Amino acid sequence: MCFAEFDVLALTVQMMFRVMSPISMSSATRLIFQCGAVCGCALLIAGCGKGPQAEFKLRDTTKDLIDAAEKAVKKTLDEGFGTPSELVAWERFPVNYGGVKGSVTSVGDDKSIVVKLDGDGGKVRKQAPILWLSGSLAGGKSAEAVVANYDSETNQIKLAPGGSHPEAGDRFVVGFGEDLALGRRVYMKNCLHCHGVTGDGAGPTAEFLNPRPRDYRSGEFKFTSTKKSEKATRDDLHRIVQYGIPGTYMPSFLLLGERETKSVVEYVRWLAIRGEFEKRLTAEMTSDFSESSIVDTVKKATAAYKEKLKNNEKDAEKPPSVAVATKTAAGEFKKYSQEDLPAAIEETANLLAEFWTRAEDPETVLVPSVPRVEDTPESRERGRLLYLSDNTKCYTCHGMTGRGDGSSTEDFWKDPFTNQFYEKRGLHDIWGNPLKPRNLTLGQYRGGRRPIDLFRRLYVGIKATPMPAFGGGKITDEQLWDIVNYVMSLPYSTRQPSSEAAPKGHVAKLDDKPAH
Amino acid sequence: MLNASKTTRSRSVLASLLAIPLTLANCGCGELVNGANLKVAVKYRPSTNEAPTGDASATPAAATEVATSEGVGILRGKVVYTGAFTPLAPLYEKGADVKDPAVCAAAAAPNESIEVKDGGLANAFIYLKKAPKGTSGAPAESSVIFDQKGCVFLPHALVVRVGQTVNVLNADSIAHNTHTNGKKNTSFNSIVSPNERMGVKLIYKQAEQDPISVVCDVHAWMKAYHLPIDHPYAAVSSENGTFEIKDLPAGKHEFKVWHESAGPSGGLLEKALVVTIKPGDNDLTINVSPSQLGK
Repeated sequence: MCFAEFDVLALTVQMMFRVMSPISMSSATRLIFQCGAVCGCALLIAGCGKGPQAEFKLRDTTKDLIDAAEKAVKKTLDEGFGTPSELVAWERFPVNYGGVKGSVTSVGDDKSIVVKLDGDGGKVRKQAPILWLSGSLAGGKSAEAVVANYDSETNQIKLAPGGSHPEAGDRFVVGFGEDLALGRRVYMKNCLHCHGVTGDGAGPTAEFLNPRPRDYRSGEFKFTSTKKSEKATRDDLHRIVQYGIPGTYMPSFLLLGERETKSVVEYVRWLAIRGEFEKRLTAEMTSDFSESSIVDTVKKATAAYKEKLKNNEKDAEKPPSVAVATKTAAGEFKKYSQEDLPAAIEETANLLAEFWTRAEDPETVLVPSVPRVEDTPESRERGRLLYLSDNTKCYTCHGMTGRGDGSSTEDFWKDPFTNQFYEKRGLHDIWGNPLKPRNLTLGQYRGGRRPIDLFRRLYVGIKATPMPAFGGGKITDEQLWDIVNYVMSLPYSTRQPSSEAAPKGHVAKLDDKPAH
Repeated sequence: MLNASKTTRSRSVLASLLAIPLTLANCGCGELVNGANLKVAVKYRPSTNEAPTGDASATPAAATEVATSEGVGILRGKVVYTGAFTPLAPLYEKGADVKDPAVCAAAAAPNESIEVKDGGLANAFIYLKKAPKGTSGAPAESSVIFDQKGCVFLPHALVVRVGQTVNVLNADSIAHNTHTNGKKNTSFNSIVSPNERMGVKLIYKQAEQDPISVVCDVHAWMKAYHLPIDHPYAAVSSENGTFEIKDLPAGKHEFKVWHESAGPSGGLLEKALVVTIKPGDNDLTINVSPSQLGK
């Protein structure tokens, strides 16, 4: 985990090489060598010490809130989602936390119960804990029961000695949270290096990667099979985990077992819900209760005050200091936390539950209205003309020849959220990362190379990026298929860029920041 | 010979010494304390919100003093720019070497970041901080139009109700791609075909705290602001700074005033401007000094 390790390793290896080599050591080498030996001994004496504690980090915007508001957000998150070592599975969200639900039909006298399971009895494992959802045992009032044995034919569960005595009619869940716990283990082993414990795309290796790993906390995934403005499906994420994203550092995890893959997909969905929950709740309070907005208000008020003094206006009133304004805001927050916050939490939870439930609705998946138009020279030519037309403007980003070098890659753009120019020219995604339009001549497609994948990229766009949705308007599904056919022919095409139908492409001058 | 064997021996001793940190480094020193190998607890939380968050049990205090029986008032106001104003130079002149010059540079592109006419500041958003409880106000009109002409968004500033349809049009002979940047709304990013007069439908599902930006990813200079809001008490100041908000329940209200040039990405000129509305006509002057707009 810690990079110091690699340094030690590198140094050690280098020095061992030196020691083994027949050339006698120079004084410099000897010095390094001695240092190494000292370090080694120091490590031996001091021991490893504790590694860093895994924690869910707060967003910068949350940390910018005044103390009381930040605490309220943290409290809500802790109650709703827990910590990395004690996860909270909030049933409100459509996440398969794992376990089988059921109810007790009758109670035997030998610590056995006959049950009716809602789901698959094959998931009832020995030693699995039973959590009581209703009846006298519910609400953590009694010790957890443990499955000693399960007979699928008689639907009889024998409970381990000790524990609780249920009654007929009690609802329960066996092995609750197993999948989320497994998902977390798989994630902590394979994913957090890049995606981070919190799923913020800021693991220790993240800053060395281009493109950067996905930050799940906005709930946005780029490559989905779903319609505009809809979340990703389980299948979408499953496919990404299985096959990776070509052209990026996201590898294929095809060697993970099916249960592991499914669990890690649930865990990622859960992290995405958690992250977006925080983002939305914080956005609700930023304008009134963030430190930066308070500072900004005081600054503006002070400037106005000074101006009034200069003009000798009588009604000039000295604005409060930042400290006083913060205190006032804290007072207002107390009122807000009683009057509005519970509703905001409810609304956010409802919304996210609705989004992620709808993602799994078959209606949400985008299905073309017509099957793929046959890939003929005529179709490709129609696609080419559309690609180069002002109806689509594909070429402004992907270039006249599809090399991903359109004029937009040379323009300086502003971050739409901060209104500041990005440091680097070219396009960016919503996370502020530089983004290259795909080079279509390579035949490498991040969202999948099936024709349907390309169709969906065109129809709904690529979420969280400047790639817009082309479908559902004047451009017909047939025309989109023509573009797919053309684009898929590009890697094998020897066509020259010139075209009488092509508009005159404008290319911005390098390093030429526009005046506006 | 003796020397050589001594060196060899010392080398092997040193090598084994060095192997120790190497082993240590390999043994997973510094792993996350509750990393992948730790057994993790999963706590069950039912759907129904039993754990009190915030202070849900407390009865909400009475809303802003509103008594609809006392009638409704109209607020007519003006956002006044208190300094001398020199009109800003256009973003680019007519015929400039920009993208799609035939369409975009057919006329100069106005710099709309500060526009003042007759001493009034245009494109300021004035809106109630929170809808008064127990009022629904006028229902939203069925749809509003958001057009693009000469690579400029029309209007530049738009108030839209949650659930209301925004018809995104295009009067140009080239495609635009309209891209919203909501903090709570999922972004809308759709190509709008040349001469699109039927309109691509944009519907905001959530109210935003403050206006959000709308851009076009083809033409970097294009920019507009939308305020999706869940009540009808909002307006944008006209080209000479005037605005009107109808059907306000009589009583004390808190307004927010926002302008795109009040801060790098826009900002509030007033966080909670208290106005007492009486039945009938009400006047309001909001003074904005040049310094507040970074001038």
